[in-house]
Amino acid sequence: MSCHPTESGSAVGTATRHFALVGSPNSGKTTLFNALTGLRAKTGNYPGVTVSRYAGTSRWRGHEAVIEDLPGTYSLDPISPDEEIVDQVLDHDIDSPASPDGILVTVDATVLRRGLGFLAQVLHVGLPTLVVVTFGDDLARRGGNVDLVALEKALGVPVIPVTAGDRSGVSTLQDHLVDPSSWPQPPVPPPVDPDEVLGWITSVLTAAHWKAPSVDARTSRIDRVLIHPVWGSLIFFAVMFTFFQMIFTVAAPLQGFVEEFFGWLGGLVDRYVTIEWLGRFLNEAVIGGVGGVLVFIPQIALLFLMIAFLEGTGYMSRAAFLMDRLMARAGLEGRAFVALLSSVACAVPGIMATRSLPSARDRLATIMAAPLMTCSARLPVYVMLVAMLVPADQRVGPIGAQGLTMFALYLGGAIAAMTVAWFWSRIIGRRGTRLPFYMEMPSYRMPKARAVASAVWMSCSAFLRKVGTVILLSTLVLWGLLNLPLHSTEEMAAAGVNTSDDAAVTEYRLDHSIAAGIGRAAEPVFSPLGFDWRVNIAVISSLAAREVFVSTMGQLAAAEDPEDPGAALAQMEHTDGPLVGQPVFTPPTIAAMLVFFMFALQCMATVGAIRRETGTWKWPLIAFGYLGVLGWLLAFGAHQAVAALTS
Amino acid sequence: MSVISATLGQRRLRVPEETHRSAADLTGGESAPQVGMAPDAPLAVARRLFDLGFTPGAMIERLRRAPLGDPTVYRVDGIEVALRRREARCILVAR
Repeated sequence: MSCHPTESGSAVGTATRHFALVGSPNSGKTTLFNALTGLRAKTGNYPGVTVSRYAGTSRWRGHEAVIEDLPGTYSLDPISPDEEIVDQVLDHDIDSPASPDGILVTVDATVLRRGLGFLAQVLHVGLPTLVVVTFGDDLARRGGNVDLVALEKALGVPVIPVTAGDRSGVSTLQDHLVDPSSWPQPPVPPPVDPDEVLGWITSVLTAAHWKAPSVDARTSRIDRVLIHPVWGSLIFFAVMFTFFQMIFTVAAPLQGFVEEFFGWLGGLVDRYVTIEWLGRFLNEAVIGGVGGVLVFIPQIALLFLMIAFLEGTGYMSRAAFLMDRLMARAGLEGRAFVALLSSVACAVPGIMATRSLPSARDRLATIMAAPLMTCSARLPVYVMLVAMLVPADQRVGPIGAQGLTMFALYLGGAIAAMTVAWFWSRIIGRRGTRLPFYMEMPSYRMPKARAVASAVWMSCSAFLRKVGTVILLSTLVLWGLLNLPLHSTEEMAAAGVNTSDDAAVTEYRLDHSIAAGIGRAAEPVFSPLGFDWRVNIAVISSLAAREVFVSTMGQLAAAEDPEDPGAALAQMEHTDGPLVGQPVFTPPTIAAMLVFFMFALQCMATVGAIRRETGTWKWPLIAFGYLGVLGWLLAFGAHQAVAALTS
Repeated sequence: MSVISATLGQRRLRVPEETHRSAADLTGGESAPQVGMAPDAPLAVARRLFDLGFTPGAMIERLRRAPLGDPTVYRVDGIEVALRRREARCILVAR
């Protein structure tokens, strides 16, 4: 990189300073970042890796500075491509414009020894460095002590204590951000050789009159229960169950409000827009599309609220600790459990939650597996199909057969997810070395409301920006496929349709849409599964959201109530081909449909979420492809198996 | 590759000559000082464990093991870290 000496000389006082914020995970780094930047942070991705980039502007008393919150790390010695990002941001030629003007290092006062080891590495970079000492209150509470003035003298760099919730520390820090070139720097950087740096650390701790804190009794007491083999596991299941139930009991009514609101808007359109097709377009495509995006927000906000709370208190690492062995069998690790569990509600927040996994390979394998967890959108489809397949009064011993089938479908999804994760974790990065597994179990702490709120805000806005556009676009495209070309009432009357019967009109429209053309063209592909061209139309419509399959199928069967079309569907017959006159929904076909829905990635929202998390279209397309093929193959197998069993 | 990562990547950690047991062999609640890294430990893993706080001379205490057998929580210098058996075997401790 070339030097630009004039550039750095003329910029003092007028240019916006740019600082890199580094520190180990759990050292209060993100809390500090939020305190400095408020909700003005922007997320993005670092080029070439699936690592999120957080940068925000701190404004105070007429000044401003850009702070870049680098991923939490224990070391500047990278052992994965993700970790190299931190080095790449820090390690520019000092006078290069891309180089940060200063580095802020957060060091947890209760684990000062390890923090100094990291600091020694950071001081080697050669940029102006400022140490922010956090959790001083915890240190005092546990009977430890350190003389910060002496520490500053021993290190040769500014040392500023900041406690969460204390504005004065942040203020003092911001004062320093005005002119990083004025920060004292040590004449000689600390050693990096392992034996020498240990000696350096000890000398600094002695000079600072360091008194190590006693073990955190509160955390130990809580851990005696929370990671106890019996109690810990029980509490874990209870917490996960509650986590999960909250989605359905709390998010569902909120989602209901959103749907009602958009339904009301749709009613307005119906009343005021006289052009029939335009009314339907505004209603179904535009309002439906926007509503279809916003309906995710209660679920995502709630899930991320709970994840942020569990993460902030420190319980998340205990949960991951308990689940690690099981996840390791699938080639993953304990932290992947929460992402997979969230996917049972909806794969979109589940996929977004994979960000907590340090290993890129684990993240990708979990992302590939998450859509297989039985999400809540599959439920209406399963309910409808199981009701057609299994008689309501059939029992297996004391248990109802329908309930058992549903349970088997859920279990099947989970087993499929684990198998797929195992498979992908072997394929992805098989040339690289296996990353070591380690997970710090931090002290239990009460998370700051601001930090939790910030996490929720970030995830919702990221969802809206990146995933929302994909959902909206696909809704518009699908509306076009299912509603074009437009048919006038005269045309329909001439074809023998009773134009005052809404169900008949809808059926005609669907039967003569572009999607119908695609459905007929795709018949050779899907007829081995027993699907006819109308089922294909419904499958196409379910790309927007799986549950739409039910209502589209109902409309195609001209059912009186499209939301409950079981009876009408049972009577639906093949219109042409070798099976003309025979019912479409035979047990082998229903079984094939169930299996197909279990696997196929028919959800543009999920595709959008994968795109957002991986930063590329490659992985969502691979996921769509392999899950579609797998779905077809297994559905075919199911069709043959059930046909053999029932013949 | 950046300068700092190249420098840090060249660090070599102490491998004791005599055989020792590893952190994976500690029993529940037992403490022992670390003597170095296992000779067959991958270099990157050894360096990462060092940066986590598993340094020669540090007292390693084995806390709880997960119900399914792995991982195990170790306390070193006031920090609690869960390690799988595979990584714990890299850390050699005194008798």
